[in-house]
Amino acid sequence: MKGARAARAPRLLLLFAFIAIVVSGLVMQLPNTQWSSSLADALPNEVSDLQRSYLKSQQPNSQQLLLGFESQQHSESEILKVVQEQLRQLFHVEPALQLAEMTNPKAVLSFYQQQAGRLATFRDRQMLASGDYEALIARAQKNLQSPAPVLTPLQSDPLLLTQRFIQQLPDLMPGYESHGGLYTRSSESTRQVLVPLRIAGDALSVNQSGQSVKAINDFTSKVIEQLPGIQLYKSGLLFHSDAAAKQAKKEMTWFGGLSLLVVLALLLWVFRSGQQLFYTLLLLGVSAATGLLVTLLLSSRPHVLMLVFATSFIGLCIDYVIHGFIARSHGKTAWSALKPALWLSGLTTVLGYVLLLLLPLPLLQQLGIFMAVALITAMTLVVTTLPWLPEPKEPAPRWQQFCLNMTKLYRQMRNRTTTHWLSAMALTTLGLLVWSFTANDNVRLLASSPESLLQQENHLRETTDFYFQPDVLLVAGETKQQALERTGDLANLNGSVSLYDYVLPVSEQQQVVEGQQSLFKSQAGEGYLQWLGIDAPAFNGAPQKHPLENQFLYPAEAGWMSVVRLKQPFSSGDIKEIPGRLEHFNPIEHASDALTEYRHSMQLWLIALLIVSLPILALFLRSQQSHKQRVQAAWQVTCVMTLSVATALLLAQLIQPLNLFHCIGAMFVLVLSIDYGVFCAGRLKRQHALQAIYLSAFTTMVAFGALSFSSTPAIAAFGIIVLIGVFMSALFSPLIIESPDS
Amino acid sequence: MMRLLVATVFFMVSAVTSAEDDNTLKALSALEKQSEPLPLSLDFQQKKQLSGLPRPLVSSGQLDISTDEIIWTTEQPQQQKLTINRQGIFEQGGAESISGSDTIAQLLLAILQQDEAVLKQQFNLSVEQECVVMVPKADTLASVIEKIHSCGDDRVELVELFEQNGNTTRIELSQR
Repeated sequence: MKGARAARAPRLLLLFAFIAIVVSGLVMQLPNTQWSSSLADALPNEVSDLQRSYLKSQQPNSQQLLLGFESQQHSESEILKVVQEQLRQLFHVEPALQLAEMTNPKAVLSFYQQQAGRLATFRDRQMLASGDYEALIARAQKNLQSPAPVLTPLQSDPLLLTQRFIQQLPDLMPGYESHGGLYTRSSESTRQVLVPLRIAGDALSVNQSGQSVKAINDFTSKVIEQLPGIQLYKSGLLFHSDAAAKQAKKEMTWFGGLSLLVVLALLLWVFRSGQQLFYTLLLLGVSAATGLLVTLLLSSRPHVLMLVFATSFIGLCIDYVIHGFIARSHGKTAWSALKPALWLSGLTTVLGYVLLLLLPLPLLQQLGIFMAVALITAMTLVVTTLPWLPEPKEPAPRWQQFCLNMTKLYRQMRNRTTTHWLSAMALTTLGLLVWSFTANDNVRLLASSPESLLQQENHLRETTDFYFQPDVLLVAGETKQQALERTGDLANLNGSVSLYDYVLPVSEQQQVVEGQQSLFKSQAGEGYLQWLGIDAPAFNGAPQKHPLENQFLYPAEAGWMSVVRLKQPFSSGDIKEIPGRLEHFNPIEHASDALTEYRHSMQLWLIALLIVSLPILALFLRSQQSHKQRVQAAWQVTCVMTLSVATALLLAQLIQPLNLFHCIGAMFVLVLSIDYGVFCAGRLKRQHALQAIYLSAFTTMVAFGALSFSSTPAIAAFGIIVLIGVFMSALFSPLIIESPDS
Repeated sequence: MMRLLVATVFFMVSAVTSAEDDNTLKALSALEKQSEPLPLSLDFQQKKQLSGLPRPLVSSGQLDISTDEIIWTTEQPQQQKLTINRQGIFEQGGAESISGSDTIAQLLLAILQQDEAVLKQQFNLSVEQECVVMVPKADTLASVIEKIHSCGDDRVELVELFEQNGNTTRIELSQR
């Protein structure tokens, strides 16, 4: 006994040294790691420099929100007064919220007054260029004798060119009047007051968004209290993310809490000890940390989504521990019979993940590294450290009896034709899946928002007319001026708004100035100036930054980028794209395309793993038996894998079209099916294998399958595949013919 | 002492609020007095004093005001005919309004037609001597127009437009 302890001491020391190295490695590596989080980062070859610059410019964590109050009984000034009063309190309570003034009329007018004489409409520029001086002068004289106010200083803009330029500016808030950052519009029946807000803090922080939404809700409640009958409409990503966070919290509390309780109760009942749970946690921690460390060392910018994809590691880890503990509880023979099966299933799975390195997607390559390293670590630790623990108690007698009964039942079911009809079922299901395959990777289908919130947003979208399409045109230039000049080429595009609509590039301003200088040297020009009683303008004003520039012009990787926003959906015939100079971009389509790319890669991977696992299993499974028996066992395992994954995908697409998250679930099902198949086909006693398989399947189905009830389609997609797939795998793997030496 | 202070402040605030209401009522009453039955034809003389110009720009002509529109006919110095309705200011024969003129057109229409509802919604109203003083409420309008005077005892005799940039437009109206 003492000898055994003495022999164990250096091994324990080695284990602690290993853990210490991994932990210190992570502590050193994590602070220096730059995590990627956007899908654009996950697809570097698919996004152009221009599109990447645009995605960077759209800061998701400084978001804008819009609140709309509508009433038929209260007057505009009544609503304004209450809203302004309550807003003051809101800003006092929640300093992260600010008014997001969309257009500042004073600043805009001041800009044009300073640029007077340098900006002119296209028609006026044409008249200047063609020397149509009399017509321009007559028009200015007529404008001067109309009752409308003169907005620009006449000494700088005697022909009122800039005045006319101002008059044809596109209105970003059509039909609305600005009141210190609030906007009002009244029709005969309805008065509407809009409150645009911006979050100065990090809106992506769950705490920040929760706090801000609470403050906004208090604010709106007070307004509604003071103005009974007023309608409230909300729009903004913050409200959706807050609703999603609340929904996720609710689901985590109910599904997560309940499934955890069920799993814990089952494990404690079967193992009659907490030792297994503690060991699983330790194994999970050490293996995942090792996988993460190697991934960080090999990847320059690891992607956070990689961690989401890697959730299947938890299931695999639990599966190995359950098998290990059950085999150990049945004595040394059972343990010896388990080890080859554990290595074979584990290494086949590892090989599958190594195949991910062949795909051109960095995110999946990172996943391959993480999973391969973490699985090898987990298997090595299970095989080496489990024997160090005191021999566990045998599983609960009732559980053993149940598994024995199932073993007998399946034995009765098996006959010579089992392989044939297992093959027929697998191939038929696969054929049906291929025939009816329906996928949709639209990102909009992956998230869900409360219906009332969507209705409120639609109402604001329909009534306000200042929402733009997600489509944009991106125009590159080495300088701001070049980007603006090139944007001018798109000025005739219907329903488009760009900075060019608000300000001309310096080169065109210079043409306007030169044209006027010629005009004022002409006889008609001199006469007009005499009539006004002023000298010819000096045009000394230097070009200035337009107040709306920040909404349309952004720094790009090489120079500047001008964004043309569209009111109508983009039609590819509208422009001729020039890569790197003029590109159409739709971030939502782009994200959906990225998901399609990933789904295709995952599908390829699933097929590749199925194909690769057959010869490997045929080579190593039941290695002491005849070639025919080995091939038959390998084929049966492959059939169970195919049947499980294909049935899960086939049934899941009846609920929603398949997407990437179904494939992530399928990845998990496939690797678990390898485990179940190999443990059934190996030298393990069938009732011992089933004790572990059923326990592993049940815990996986409860823990991950509970996600299928999630109201978020992406999570539900993953959950439903795991639920059906693992059930099918546990149902069909006992049909695999037992090894004669088991 | 504290109670007295609070009471005094409360009294002052209520006095200011009621004074505002009182001013609006007086202004509305004055506007009602100035209003005349439509249709109405008037002669006008407009003097535009623009910043930087040594002398005002003077024009004169006729106004034909009906419930839906105003025909603004300038005879001197240049012949010009403008139609002002709720959609904007239109030149004679032109199908398209002068861009951005709809707001100012609606205001001119309201002032010359003495449309109390629109004026009350768009302006803070008060009375100074014989003139109703209108100060715009909305930022966009307030960034251009400082105030408008509508003067006259039993009819509108003078409309003065004071712009934020120092320009003033004085429109004298007389019975034809």
